[in-house]
Amino acid sequence: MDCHGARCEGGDGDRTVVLVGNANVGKSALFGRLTGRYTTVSNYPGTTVEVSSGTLALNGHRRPVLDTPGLQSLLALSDDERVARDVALGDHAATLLVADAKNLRRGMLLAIELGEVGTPFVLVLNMSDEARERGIDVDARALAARLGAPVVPTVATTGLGVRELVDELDHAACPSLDVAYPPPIVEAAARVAAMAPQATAGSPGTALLFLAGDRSVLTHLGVDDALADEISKIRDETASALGEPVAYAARRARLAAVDEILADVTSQAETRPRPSEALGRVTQHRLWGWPIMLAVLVAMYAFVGWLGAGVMVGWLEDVVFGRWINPLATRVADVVAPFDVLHDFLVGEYGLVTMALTYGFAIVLPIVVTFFLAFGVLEDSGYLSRLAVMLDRMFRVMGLNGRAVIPMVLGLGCDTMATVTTRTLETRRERIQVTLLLALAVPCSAQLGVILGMITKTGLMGIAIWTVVVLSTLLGVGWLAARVLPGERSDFIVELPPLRVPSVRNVAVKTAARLEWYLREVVPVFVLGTAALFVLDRVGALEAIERWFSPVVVGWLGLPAAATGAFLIGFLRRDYGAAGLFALAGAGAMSGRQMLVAIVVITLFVPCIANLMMIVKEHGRRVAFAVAAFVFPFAVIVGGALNAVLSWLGIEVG
Amino acid sequence: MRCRLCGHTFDAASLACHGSCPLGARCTLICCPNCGYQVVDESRSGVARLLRRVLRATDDQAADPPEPRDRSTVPLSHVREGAAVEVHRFEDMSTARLSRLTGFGLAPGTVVTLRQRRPVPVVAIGETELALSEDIARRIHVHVPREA
Repeated sequence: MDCHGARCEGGDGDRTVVLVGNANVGKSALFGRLTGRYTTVSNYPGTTVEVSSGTLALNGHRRPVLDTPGLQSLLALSDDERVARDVALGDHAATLLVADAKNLRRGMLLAIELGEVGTPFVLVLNMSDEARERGIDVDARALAARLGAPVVPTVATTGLGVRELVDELDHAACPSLDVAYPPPIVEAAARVAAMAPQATAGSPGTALLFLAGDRSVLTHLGVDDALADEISKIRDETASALGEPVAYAARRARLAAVDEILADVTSQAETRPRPSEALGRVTQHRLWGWPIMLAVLVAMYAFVGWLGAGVMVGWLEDVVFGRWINPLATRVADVVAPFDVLHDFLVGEYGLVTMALTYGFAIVLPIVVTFFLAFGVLEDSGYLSRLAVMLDRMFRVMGLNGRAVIPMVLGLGCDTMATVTTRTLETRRERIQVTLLLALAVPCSAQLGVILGMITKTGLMGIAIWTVVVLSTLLGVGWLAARVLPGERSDFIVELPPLRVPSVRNVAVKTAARLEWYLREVVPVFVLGTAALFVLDRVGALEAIERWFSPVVVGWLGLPAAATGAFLIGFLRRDYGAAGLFALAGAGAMSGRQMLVAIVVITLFVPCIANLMMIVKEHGRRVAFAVAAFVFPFAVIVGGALNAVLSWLGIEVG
Repeated sequence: MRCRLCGHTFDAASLACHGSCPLGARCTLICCPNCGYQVVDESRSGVARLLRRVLRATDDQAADPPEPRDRSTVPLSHVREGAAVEVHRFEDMSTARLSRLTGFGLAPGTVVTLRQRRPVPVVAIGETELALSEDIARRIHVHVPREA
């Protein structure tokens, strides 16, 4: 089938250059090369999927560039893919189809699909250095001749071939490739094209996309219900004639066509095994994988938990804000804002400078910087998917799979940031489940430090009880949530990219873009949250809350009344709450058992306010409310039950 | 429906007790008009549905591997580590899963190498390495070439 789409000839809708391609082909690195530092990351309208945009400034061009999430096929399966598909199907001047030169087969599948719907493109053979290392030789000229579209080999990480690529931008063409589809598909596509001449632009290729896609694809592409019903009927007829789903049969026909072309234009030479390949094997080995995993986690913890949350936070909070900024702000406020209310609003206990900015810049910023750096390095090195391989089995107990490992492990660094990464999960059910588990049972690094400091006072017995309670909560609630939350579990199919040394430039650009997001979207949230607390405090609501809850704290948990305040503060920052308890314990106000109960409650208790705000941002108010409504009582119930069991058995710790 | 205790057959929708009983029309139980035995009407009781989900037998892991119908092929999960095999067919997979696998270039006729079986099966398709869950690997039937 060739393309007769109107878009083939035109291509002057706007001057935007879009990058599309499979996941892990180096789109972002190429994007960085094309645009330099001037990029912004923003959510695609109506979604939480990130799309980077920037300006191309090379060879005298100045035009907008859009980067998209990885796309396997125009028949999108996840939110990320849907966004990429919408961008790919948009009317843009030039599409760069980025393919991994050593995995050209997959890129070519997408090339055929794009050609069929009439999108002109330039095929980019990225990572051509890695292909050469593996003895794979692609004849770009021969391939271009077969495709009828320009083909440019590049190495995005070093910039090789990027200038040549820019020169080809205006020569983007719509390829025509012969795919031997089974006769029932050809007939059905012709029928659909005839039925919906407007929607398909009369092109059998677009009709085929309609035919192969499910109902959501049709609705999304603007097909009305009546027509969608007709198309569904034709799809079912075709599938029964073929004896297999249409999408699958079409894909197989395309793969056969791709294999035929690639046999002519590529050659494979024998090569020796590379060291990175052996290292990759070891990291996913059933035995050696474990010590390596432990080492990586310890290193990450040392970087984020110790350097970021410990050393850097300590210096910024105590020295920069504690000694310089806050006293200065207080002095300024004394002069310019003599009224009590305004003065406290700026520099009071819940003040704009003393709390919102101190939290945003002194406490959270260093964690965010180190966290994003570490995450960027792990992401670019290809290790994250190995981690998923190692831990898949454990996560199955919780009805999740290895993909959920990433947010959970990151949660040990910072739950708030980890909540953001739940968007990499495929189904809404999994995203919400992981968000809940993070809020409930994964202590963040800041909290973990204080908890570890305190728990050692309760002795080995206390440590053992705490570990058992927290772990069984994690597994038990996960197990239960998997059964109660509606929805399907997703497949565990994860690509393992080769291990690489991350490019400093790429990690730096990514971290900078994420920091920008943090400063723009999260810091204002801190300001709002602090303002709300300020109002609550002014009208006396905070005190009232403390009074209401003290019967629960004293009666049910068996803790001193002063612990109520610590829990309340714990909502602001988990580690502050833990620190409050630490101070109480230090003053000798708590017995060993009380300490243990208090630590268990504060571990399970509340996502901190930043985490809760992030849940609102990612999943909406309803989910955030449901998570809070579950976590608060649950933590108190578990703590009380532990207290009751310990006193009943007469176990004393510490 | 048929009463599980006495075997009396009746139409649950037309039971008179739902109209006259103080529990009323929202009662979640069905009483057999013959013997009075009560069963829970799951279409009405959210609690019953929730419990059923919670108590439901665990996931697909528990299912036994399907017996290969065709003697000349074996499931990918049963292949020796390091073996190069040709994919023969996929068994009982959703369209989404088929699309995902073929998108990685895994399709009947493709030659793949099983890199490892544990902790999860990993296959190499050309330069693409793919980790799969075991239940997916079990549904991929492959030809193993005869060896000396």
